Amino acid sequence: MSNQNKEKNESDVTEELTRVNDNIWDIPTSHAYGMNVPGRLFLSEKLMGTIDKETVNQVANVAMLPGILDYSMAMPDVHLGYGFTIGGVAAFDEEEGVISPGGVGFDINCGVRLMKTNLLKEDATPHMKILTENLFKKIPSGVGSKGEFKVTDTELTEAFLHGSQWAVEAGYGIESDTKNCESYGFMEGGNPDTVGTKARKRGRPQFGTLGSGNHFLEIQYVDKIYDPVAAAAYGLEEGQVTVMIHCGSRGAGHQICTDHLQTLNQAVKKYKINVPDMQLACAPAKSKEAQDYFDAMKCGANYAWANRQIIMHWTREVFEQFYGKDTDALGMELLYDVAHNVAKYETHEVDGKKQDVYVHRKGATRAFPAGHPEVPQQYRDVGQPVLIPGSMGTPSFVLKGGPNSMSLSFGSACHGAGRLMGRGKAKGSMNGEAIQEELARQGITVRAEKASVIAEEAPSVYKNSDDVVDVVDSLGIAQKVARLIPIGVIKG
Amino acid sequence: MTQKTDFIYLDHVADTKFIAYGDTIEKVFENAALATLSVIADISTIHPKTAFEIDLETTGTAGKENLMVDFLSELLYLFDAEETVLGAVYVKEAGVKKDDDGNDVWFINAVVSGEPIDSAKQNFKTEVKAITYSGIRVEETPTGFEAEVVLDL
Repeated sequence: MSNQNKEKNESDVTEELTRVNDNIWDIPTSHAYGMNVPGRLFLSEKLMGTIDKETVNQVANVAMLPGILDYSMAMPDVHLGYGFTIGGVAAFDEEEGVISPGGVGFDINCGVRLMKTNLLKEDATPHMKILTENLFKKIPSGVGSKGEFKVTDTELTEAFLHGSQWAVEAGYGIESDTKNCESYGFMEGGNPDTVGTKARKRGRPQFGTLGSGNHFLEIQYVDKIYDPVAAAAYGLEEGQVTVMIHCGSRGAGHQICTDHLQTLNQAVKKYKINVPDMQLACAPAKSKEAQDYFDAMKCGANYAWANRQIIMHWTREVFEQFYGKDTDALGMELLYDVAHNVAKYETHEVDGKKQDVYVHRKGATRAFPAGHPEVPQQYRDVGQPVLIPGSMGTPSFVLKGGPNSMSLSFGSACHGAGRLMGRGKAKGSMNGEAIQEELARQGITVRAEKASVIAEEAPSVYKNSDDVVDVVDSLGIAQKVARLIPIGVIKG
Repeated sequence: MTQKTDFIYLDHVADTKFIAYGDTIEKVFENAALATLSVIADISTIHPKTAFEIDLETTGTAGKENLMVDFLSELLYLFDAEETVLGAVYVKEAGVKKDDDGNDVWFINAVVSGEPIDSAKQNFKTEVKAITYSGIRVEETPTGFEAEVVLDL
């Protein structure tokens, strides 16, 4: 697209939106024929220029699905996806609504976990080259990587059923790991019979691998505390070293989605549902097709939790070996783990009435407020930790679920910085080695399989994470607790 | 005018979009496969040591689009499950036939080949997570066929 066209598109975008307040813009149902509810974009004026017409249309497409409640929403990190946008949130009525794999994505339970340590920045910085090298050797990453870790078919079934709870029981973690995790480390009701042979075959060799693309493992330090009370509850202090792991369900999840999309693409005809995009294939929430997908999706989500658990375990081993202390002595405790590609059956208030709904979060994080029964006991007084990874080289944030998340966004917040530039373009216009050197000057060691990955994931291809987080903070959806600065990055 | 280009990539913020061309339906499937595989690796360096046969059929709505997704998804499956990086594709036959009830059945019969994954040896580029249905089209044009596909990276 030429610049001129792009400018035109952007001006068209605001023309079609209704401004509700500084950070909320609605897409009226008159935008496109068939919208059942309006669209709602959580965007500041500053971020308005980051979205284009195609993205607005994708938000509108989701509004056309049957039984959608309130709004088809998009978080401030929104960008063009497939089916749903990335940063899309939609809740569906249990009776009238649907379940759609398009609202979850192929990388089921792609998510983030944050582990604390009692190390200080100065304990880690001088050793970053060795630490990142050791982590890079220990944790398989990159295209075509497979784990040294071999699981049996029975173990794979256990992982599909019990996620990180299985991993901890199998010796890859400590008891508190599942206590501090969304859904306590697994979604109940996964049914391995709904997972095909192909998904099993893809999932087995990839257990315990990071993957490639935007997935990473990062060593960081807390450089700023915004909310001392919440930070104390989360156990965060300025200068403290943390480790963030961002990855998902690998080939297992991708294949589960692929297989069920095939079925649901035929189901739309059977149930006479008009979908504006085949990627939005869906079925009535209570139908066998939808429930089979949902049960398989849970298996994919559980696989991802087990995967992140195992990767965290190996990270602990690397630190233990390097520092000559055990996990306990190093204070390597999981702070929290969130899924940002998932559908959940949750209770929300709709039109003043409590109702069970299917919330789809595609590139969006759950952000339950203080007092919510699903927030782990030790965090319940402050709210659920919301983990927002930055792009490579830029800050990540820890937020807490805010008081307005339930009324504004079905308990959801943003999930990251949000891309601005395509990967192909990034690779063409940026030099991975130069970026690596620039990051090194800023004190960030990057260890990647190859320089092209660094170019594709360069900080400047993303929106500014501060701008994104400021929107959810201002709206009271999720509020800033701490900012984390990277010092060592492992990229696949 | 005959098509000279096999496929082109279009910019997409998070993912990759391509248009594949072909004088025949077989060729458009072949070029779509090569476009997908070229995102993963430099296919010119891959030796055809192992071959796999792909036989697929789809019925129902959007038969040829579904067949395209199924066919390309099969390549990703072989990469992960057979741990083989593919570099060559030959589509023997593809098209539409009728089943006993008179419904359209889209089918493809292809052979793909490659070598075992060895990341030290092969020049991998990017992982393709999945083939999406988003905005997919497989169409006959005045000059042959074209297919547009978005890959999830």
